[in-house]
Amino acid sequence: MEKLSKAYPGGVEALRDVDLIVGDGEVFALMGPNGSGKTTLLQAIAGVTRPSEGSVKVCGFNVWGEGWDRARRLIGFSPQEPPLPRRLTVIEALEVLGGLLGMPPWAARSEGLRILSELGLKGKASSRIGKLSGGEARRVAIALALLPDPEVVVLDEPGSGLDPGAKRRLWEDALGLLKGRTVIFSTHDPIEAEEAAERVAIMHRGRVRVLGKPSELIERYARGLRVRVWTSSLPGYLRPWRAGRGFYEFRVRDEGEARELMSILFDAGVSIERIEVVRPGLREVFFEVTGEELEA
Amino acid sequence: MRRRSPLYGLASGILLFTYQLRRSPEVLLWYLGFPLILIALVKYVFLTGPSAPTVGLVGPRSLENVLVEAGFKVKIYDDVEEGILDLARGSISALVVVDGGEVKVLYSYPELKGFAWAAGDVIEESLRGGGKNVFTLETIEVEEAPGRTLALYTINIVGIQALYIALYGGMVEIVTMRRDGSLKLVASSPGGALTLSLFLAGYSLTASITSATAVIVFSILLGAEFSGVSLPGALTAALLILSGLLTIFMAALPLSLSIKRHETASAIAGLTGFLAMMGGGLAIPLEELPDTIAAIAQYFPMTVAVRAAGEALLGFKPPLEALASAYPLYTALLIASALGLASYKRIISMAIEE
Repeated sequence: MEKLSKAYPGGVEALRDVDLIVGDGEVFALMGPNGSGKTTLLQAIAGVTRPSEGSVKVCGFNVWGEGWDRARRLIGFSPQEPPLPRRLTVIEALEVLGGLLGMPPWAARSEGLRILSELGLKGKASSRIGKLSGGEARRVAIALALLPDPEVVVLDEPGSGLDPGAKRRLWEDALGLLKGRTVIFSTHDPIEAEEAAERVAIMHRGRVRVLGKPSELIERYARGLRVRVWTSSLPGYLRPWRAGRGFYEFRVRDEGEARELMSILFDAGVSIERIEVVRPGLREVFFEVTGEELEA
Repeated sequence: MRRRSPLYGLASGILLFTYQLRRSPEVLLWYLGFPLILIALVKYVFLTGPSAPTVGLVGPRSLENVLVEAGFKVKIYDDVEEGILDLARGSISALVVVDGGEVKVLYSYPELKGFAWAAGDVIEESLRGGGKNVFTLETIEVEEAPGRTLALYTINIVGIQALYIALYGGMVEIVTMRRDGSLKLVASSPGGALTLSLFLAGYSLTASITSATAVIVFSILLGAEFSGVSLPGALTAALLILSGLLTIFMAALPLSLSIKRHETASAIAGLTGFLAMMGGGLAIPLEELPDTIAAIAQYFPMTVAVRAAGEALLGFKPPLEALASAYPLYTALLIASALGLASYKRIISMAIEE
């Protein structure tokens, strides 16, 4: 992606000068809060929303210029809310949508059954879409993206609405099918990004603010530990790094320094409701980079 | 990476309709239940007896006043065949043909023999100043007339279904696909616009063929008389109805551009369909409509298609003649296609611009 920008009618700038290169076979996450431009960027990559400026190339083919049809043959896209007809069964929906994507319905059926089986949904092929649980529906959405056997899989919030355990299982089940393909997905969950992605781009207000491997970003922007103390007040000589909702947060280098801080608090007679030592993750990186909390 | 072709959009449309027919009660109701109810209504409510007591007249115009003064409602024909066609349709109750000194009165239902006699008597008296009745009274296909009329109404109902299918395909389906995001997905796929048009064609054609087959079979079971239907006649009728469907579909596309919500599109399609059905000579014969409405309605594309299809299918006119008589339909199709294609291009580009 080069100098990618998108302005919607009315002047809303969803993307501003985004430059990104995602490697072959890489699992890449776009992380950011709602409205940060993740969906617009994914749609521009998938050929679904035309950017105002800039270009997107997939395997050398321009998604928005000459060779667009070849580029789009390489992409499988699952939108945040896939258009799955609720009354149809899972396999019927995949057949119909496969045909709409230009696949022979019979190939969509056989491939759909194989993908569903790998995603742990074989027994659900004849269930109606409307009767599926949230996790099952997300798996069907991934199956839709994988149906045309794409080189590049673009998933918009694949774990949306799932609890952390269900998200983890979803990625574990999908891993075999995604292996060897380039995967670009969006999330506002820092844990999902850390666990599933090899590299992460943190997005904020239409821009990519930082980019790198999760461990490198944490090391660079959120070193050490965070000690969160839930209390109503602190003595004036204790200067927290920041104040959150009902808590004060201190930055310390290691466990030793954390213990030292706790004894200072006890000695000062601070009435503590709860205390938490947090190993920083991408949530803290987001705060460091943008100065804003990442809403989960 | 799999090989893809826009042609599979056609198969997708056919599959979607087939699956919806099995899974969705609304689809079952609208595409099968609704037309079958209409056929049953026609048979058991509207065709239970003689039709409106109107007399058709082929002969000197001066005789029109004679009949009107005697209390008859009159319709003038230039051509005997045209009058017989309406007699078979049930639009008129008797046809008075005055040729030179000879007066012939035709009727269809046996119950109308007395009515036909009375009409003939009035003419006879006017021409000869009273005396012995010398006019001839004839019946045309008395046994077949009600079945023939039901067959003609069946074609009207096939036309009504095609009208709704076109309005829903060209408007509601497009708006729904835009709302649920599938239009974006299709528009951005390698087949893009062609895949979508084939998908809509597959869906609409399957819906239309399924619905028409069900209606025709059901009407035959209820006694509709389709004997003597030739293959060229049937093909011509199918071509005419499909031309009507395509015209309405294309005309509906520009409307879909300005509608945002599925519910609004459904309401507009429902209302437009109802008005076209009632005021276009499809549910109520043109002859029964007020003159001003009938004058406009005779050029309505689906009305033209249905009338010509009926004439071709039931052998009232040779297929080529029926096709030629539908020229207002082709003019409308050309205009609607130009508007529709420009709108379709805009629909596709809007899907990926938004």
